[in-house]
Amino acid sequence: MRNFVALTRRELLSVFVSPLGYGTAAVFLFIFGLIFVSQFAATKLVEVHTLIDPMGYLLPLLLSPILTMRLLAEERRQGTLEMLLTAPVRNIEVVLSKFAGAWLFYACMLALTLIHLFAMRFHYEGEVDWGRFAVGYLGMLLIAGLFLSFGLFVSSLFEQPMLAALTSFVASLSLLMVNFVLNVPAFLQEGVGKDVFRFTLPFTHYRNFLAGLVDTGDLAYFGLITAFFLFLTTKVLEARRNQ
Amino acid sequence: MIEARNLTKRYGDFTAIQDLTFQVQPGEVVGFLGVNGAGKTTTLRILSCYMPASSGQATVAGFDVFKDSLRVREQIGYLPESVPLYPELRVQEYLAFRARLKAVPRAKRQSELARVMDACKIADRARQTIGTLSRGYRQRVGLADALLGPPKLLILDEPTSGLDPLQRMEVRALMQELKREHTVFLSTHILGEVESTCTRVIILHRGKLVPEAEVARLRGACQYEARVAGPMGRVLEALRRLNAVASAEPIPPEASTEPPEPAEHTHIRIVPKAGLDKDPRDELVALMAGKAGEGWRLLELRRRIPTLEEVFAQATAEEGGKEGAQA
Repeated sequence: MRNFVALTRRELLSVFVSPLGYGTAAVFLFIFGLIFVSQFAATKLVEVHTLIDPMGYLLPLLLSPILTMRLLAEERRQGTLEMLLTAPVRNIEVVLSKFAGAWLFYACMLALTLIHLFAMRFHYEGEVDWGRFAVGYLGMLLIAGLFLSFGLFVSSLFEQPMLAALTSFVASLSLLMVNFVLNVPAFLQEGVGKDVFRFTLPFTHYRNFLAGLVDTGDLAYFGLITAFFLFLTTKVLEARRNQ
Repeated sequence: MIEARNLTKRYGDFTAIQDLTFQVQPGEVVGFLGVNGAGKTTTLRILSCYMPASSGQATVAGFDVFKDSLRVREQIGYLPESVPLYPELRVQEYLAFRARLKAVPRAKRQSELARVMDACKIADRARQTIGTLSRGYRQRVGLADALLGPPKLLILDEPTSGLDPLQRMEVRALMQELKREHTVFLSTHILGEVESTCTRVIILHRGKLVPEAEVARLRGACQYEARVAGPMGRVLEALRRLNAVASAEPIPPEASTEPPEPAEHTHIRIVPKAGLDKDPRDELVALMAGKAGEGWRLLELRRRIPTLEEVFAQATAEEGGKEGAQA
């Protein structure tokens, strides 16, 4: 635990002093703000899905590859992984802290978007369903956990951060394409097969959160897949050690 | 402190190290010597638990490096050759991070940081970002990191590579101080460093250890140099006939670093016969005294102990020769 805290602190320190961290946050907040303002200017009310729907694309395609590409690939490239793995720390602590660092950074960016909701609180005269916003933000955190753990896993496979980013981008893009095709009514007959396909995709579960629905099944889905990629990452670290 | 038995590491078909067996006792400063590619880094990486050996066993401070890797890593301070550091952190931040990882208790952390920064003379750079440090300073930060704990065993991979002569001297001086409190296992290909700091030398050549007996033999194999006034051909012939002399060869003036002498003063290298306890100097002096009437005079006679450089060159050349013959 002490190691985990120390390692996570180091992760956050590194991302908060890097131009990449600030650049990512700036782009993210700009896009988020743009989406918000475009609807806010017209109606003074911004619906949950207007804000949170785009995150289903932005996060896997852009944010996650950028936030995770350096995590292990950079350590390997500059050799600091050797320092890390010869210190008295467990592989799992290294992996968890890297994940936590990226996730916390993302959570900080999300926290900054709350300022928009404050603005809405003061300008909109009707009743706002804050509960749905809370569930939407929970969904954003959970889907981020999944894609960040996937990005971390990809980063553990490469020595070049750019290659890691590209790979997780392409993988996420393919996943989104599958999702898109599945939602075309003419493609595949509705039935068990299509449902199984749908069930495996994170976007299906994410959509439930947009609807204000917290389903234990969805929670378990995100938890399990995230844990699975973190587990794979520790296995990659172990295997690399054995090479 | 270190006990390695039959350590072997293969990368695919390439055998990096083969059947290494050696020990390092607590308090020793052992130099691990070899040309580039001899397998030094591989061995150190196994001992520091960065990667496992293909076969064989190693223990550090009584713990197995494979089975008790965490316990081993608590005992060591390791400085890899390339000195990898996080360029975006400040020196102080980095060392504080490493101290936490190495479980230095919170109460002692500040004093421990002060101690290692003081020892490595980097206290004045504590607030500087590591990425902006010079090579010499980075090396010292790496060394400071290795000293945190403090660890029982220091494993240093070429601690002076990439440093200028002045910095190298400083690191060596630091090493002299470390000797008192730590067991040190350091690899290098700079022989002067080993001679000045190490209590013992292990030579690695193409993944195999040069046996310690062999190193001792080479180190103990002394030679003599004589300077004689007299007819060169006849003097050499007479010397070669002596019982305790294996060979006597003139040293050409250009091979000598000494100031030139008159040409009739022959400079001779004498190799004694191995296994005899007779000192060839006795015979030589007697011979020269007997020939004094013919104008032979012994001007100079001294014993020369081979430098580590010569031992190293011979050890690696002999091994190389054998392998070449096989190929």
